[in-house]
This record gives sequence, C-alpha cells and structure tokens, in this order.
Amino acid sequence: MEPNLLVMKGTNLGEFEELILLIVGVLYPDAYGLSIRQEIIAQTGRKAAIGAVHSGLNRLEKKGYLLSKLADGTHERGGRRKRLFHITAAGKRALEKNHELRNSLWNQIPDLAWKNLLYGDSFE
Amino acid sequence: MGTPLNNHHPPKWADHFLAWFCRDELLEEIKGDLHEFYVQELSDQKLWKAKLYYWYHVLHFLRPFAIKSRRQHSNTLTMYRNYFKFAWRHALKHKGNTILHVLSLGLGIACSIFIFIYLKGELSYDRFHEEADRIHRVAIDLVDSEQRRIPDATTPPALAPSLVKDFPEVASAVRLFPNWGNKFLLGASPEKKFHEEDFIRTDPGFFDVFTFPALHGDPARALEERGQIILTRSAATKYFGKTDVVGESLMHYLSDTTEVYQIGAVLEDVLLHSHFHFDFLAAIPFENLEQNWGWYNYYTYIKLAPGAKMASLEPKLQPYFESQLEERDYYNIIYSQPVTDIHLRSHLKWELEPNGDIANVYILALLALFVLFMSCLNYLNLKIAEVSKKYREVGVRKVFGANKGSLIGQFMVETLLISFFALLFASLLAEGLFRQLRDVLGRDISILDPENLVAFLLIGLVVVGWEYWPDSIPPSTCLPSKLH
Repeated sequence: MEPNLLVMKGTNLGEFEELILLIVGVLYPDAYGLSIRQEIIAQTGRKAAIGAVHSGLNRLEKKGYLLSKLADGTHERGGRRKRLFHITAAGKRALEKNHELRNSLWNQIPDLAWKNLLYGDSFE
Repeated sequence: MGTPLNNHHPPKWADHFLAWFCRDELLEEIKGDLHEFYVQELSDQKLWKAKLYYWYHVLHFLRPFAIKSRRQHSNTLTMYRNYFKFAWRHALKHKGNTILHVLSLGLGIACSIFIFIYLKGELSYDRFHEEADRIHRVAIDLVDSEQRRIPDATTPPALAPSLVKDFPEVASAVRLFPNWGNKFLLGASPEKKFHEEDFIRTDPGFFDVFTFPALHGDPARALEERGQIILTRSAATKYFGKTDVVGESLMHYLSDTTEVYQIGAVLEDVLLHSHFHFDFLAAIPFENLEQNWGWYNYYTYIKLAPGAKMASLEPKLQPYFESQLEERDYYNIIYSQPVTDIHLRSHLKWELEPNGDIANVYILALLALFVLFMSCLNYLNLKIAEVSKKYREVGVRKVFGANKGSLIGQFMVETLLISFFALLFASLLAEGLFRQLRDVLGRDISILDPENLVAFLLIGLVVVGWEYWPDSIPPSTCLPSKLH
C-alpha cells in the first residue's frame, strides 16, 4: 500500500528515524514507545528521552512507514493501553533503500582506500 | 520492590501538566509509557531521582506532535487577518475619510514631533563644551544709589585674571570683549573688504575654558601675540575661498591706518546651540587691565578645577570682590551662572545674544502635548460620527456570530491602521520641515538621528496607545442590541 500522500511529511528517513524503524523490527511484535527506548539505550548506548522516541514514532507513522494499534493495558501502566508498532511495506522499502545505498557506496570504495589509512594526522 | 504502594503514583503535578498540554488521543499511551518508566525507575533509583526523571521526560513531550493544537488561538489569528482585510478595504472604499483621518492625525503628530525636537535643541545649549558642567559665567549686578539692583552680565577686566590667581578652585578663566557695536572693516586684499561684527577679543586661555574644534592650526597658541587672529571656516571661505589659510594675513582697515593680522588657526563654525557666536577671535589689544576694576565691559567665564564645587566658591566671591574695590562700589553683587543655564535662564542686561526662555520651553511642550491630544480627540470624534454609517456592516457581522469583543477588535484594527499611516505621514512631514527650515534652524536635523528617533517613537507610542484604549468605547455604546 502506498503511504497516504496527504499525511506524508516527505519520505526522507532521518538517522534517528531509521534507528527507531530498525528497532521496531527487532522488537517485533512487542515494539512500543518505552521498549523501543530501552532497546535503543541497550543497543547503541545513546540516551533518548521518551518524548523523542514518541516523536520519532509519530513522524514515521505519518510518513507511512509504521502502523500501530492499541494493545491491552497492564498493571504497571496503571491499566493504560500501549501502542504497538509494526513496519509497513513502505517502511521496509525505505529501510532497504537506505541499506542498498549504503552497500552500494561501500562497495564502490576502492580497496586502495583502505590501505595506508590515516589516523587523524595531517594529509602530508 | 519494597516501596510503599502510594509511591507508585508519579508526581501528580507532572501528570496534570501533561494532561493539560498533551493531545487527548495521545495521552493514554504516553501516560502509560511514563508510568511504566516510573515504576522501573523506582526499583533502582531513589524516590526523588525517579520523580525528577519523571518530570524530565514529561517536559520532553513538549514537542509539536504531542501538544494540543489550540483551535481558539489559530481562530484569533484568522480573525485578526480578517479585521485587517476589512480595515484595509474600508480605508480604500472611503478614500476621502481615510485621507482626512491620516492628514489630520498626521498633522498633529508632525507638529508635536517638530516641537519636541526643537525643544530638545533649546535644552542642549552650550553642552558641546567639554566638561560643560564645570564652566560658569561670573556676572556682577549693579546696585545704584537708590538700592535698585540692575542685572548685568558684564564685569571688570581685572576679575578673570584675579580669580585664577587667588582661587585654587578656578582652573582657568577667560574674558570676552565683543565688538560693542563697532564694525570692523576686514579684507584679504584692498579689493575684497567686508564690515564684520562677529569679532570677539579674548585671552589666550579661551580654549582652556571653551571647546571649539579646530580645522587647521593650533588654536591654543594662536592668540598669544597681539597681531594674531583666528577665523571660522565660513569666514576663511568668505575671504580666501578655502579653509587652509593658516599663516596668511588679514587686513583690518582703520580710518587712517591698516593693521595686519596673522591667521593662527581656523575653527569649525560655531554651533547654533551656543549662547554666543563669533567669526573672528583676536587678542585683547588694551593695556593695564589687570588692575582695572572700574570698567564693566568684559564677560568673565571660569572653568573650575576638577572636583571643585561652585557652591563652596560662590560665598567667597562677594567678600573677595569687595576687598578689591574702593568704597563707592561696595554695593555691587557678584555671582555665577552655569554656562549651560545661560541660554534659557539668564536674562541680564547686556547678554551677548538674545536668549531663550525656560517658560517658552514649558509652554511649547504643553502646546505640543495639547496638539497631540487634540488631534487624537478629533480623530476619535470623526470615528464616532462614522460609526452610525457602519450599522449595516456590524449587523451582518452580528448575524454571523460576531460578539462584542470581535466588533471592538475590528474597530481597533481600523484605528491602528490609520494611526500607522498617520505616523508615517507625520514623520515624512516633520523630516521635510526640518529640511526646508534648515536655514531658520541653523543646522541639519533629522528624525533619523538616534536621539530624535527615540522622541519620535515615544510620540508614536503615545498616539497608538491613546487611540487603542478609548476606541473600545464607541462600538459598545453605539452598536449592539440597539440595531433595528
């Protein structure tokens, strides 16, 4: 299904968005705001506010890369329901595109470039 | 977990705050996540830290995606855009009225801008001298045989040198000896002669007291000898066609002989806002003045030493003066005036030039305020008269659900629009006046000078503020519920 053009914010996938999208896939089928945040911290070590994760999820859903539904509430949540996220076909394609682009660029780097690697010294 | 049950509840105020700003449809999942987070934190953090983190994450939801869109807010914006559109159309539709409003209001504003900036000039007299607050004029009032005190600005020639000699508080003093009605026939060549009146004889210490910027030469050393003279820029241009004339000579044609002056320095023209003006300065040509306490034809100016107070010097003047005199002169009264006060507050006999009057300053300021007030009232009056013509428009607005507030808003926007254009017109008019009256005012004034801009903006604020406030009256008194 094509993402709804009216709610699309533009199909560019930001770096943090890509991370969230990948984590949603990793956590399938139990990806929701807090678990995604914990996974980000666990996997990358970078701090992210819950609000930042929610904001990213919100954008991804608007772009059509994610779908969500409300699941049942639990005791720790004071009986409140959580919103579970799934990757859409468009989301998968966006990830693939990024992946392919990266691979393609990676493969184009000549082997020679990896010889005589510089370690932050000057070019000379 | 070991924590009491009531601690499972996160900070109440954070939750209230969240509920206040967060979109309703997102509130449940967000609050759920936050609570779950809080419970996790409680298990391995101190209570206050968990609460702090909770607050931190709540505040992190202050992002556009989560914040309630305030429908009311955007509606207000739209309404104001609409008011503006209608005000603009109304202004264009009633061109005659609009022009009348803008002109009448603008004229009043221009008038007050002009007066205020003129007054600012009156108040700035003689402040261009360096350390002007240390410069004073010493005057001696004459007391006649019938004990009448006759104010007099002039003093004997011995006064200035004696004051410097005998009072450490007086850093420097200078005498001015104006032309006293004489005309000086000066010329660079016999073919080019002019009668001059703005010719002042003075002491070499002139520039120790006063500040007049030099164009060429060293003015401080240009009065040391008898035959030297200092010109202003315009005098130099008049006689030589150029300003760099130091070292050239200027002839003073007397009836039988010719004196030759060497030009020692050229000064900038004396600013308008000085209580005396001159084109030529030369040394005093008379002898034996240092003991002369009998002639009253010199003006005495002193500059106090740094830190010295005129208030402490003033009481010493009268005894000192009397000690220098023979008995018959005892009655005369000596006193001082700050140089910056001379233009507006000194009305002695034999002033160097006609002075202004502080009373006029107050009167003009009041006048300006009054004109401003009148033009605002006049505008208000015209506007109220116009209201009756707007019943139809207001009626239609009411049918579409306009409340009192929005009707008032409409009027306010119209007023602001007119005021804005009036202000624009007024500034152009005042600027034009300043340019046209350059010769009368004696200098270039522009609204765009920073300090004038401040005055201008103040007036603008007064007008707009004034218009804004009382204009809320007409629609509420004339309009609602009284429509047929």
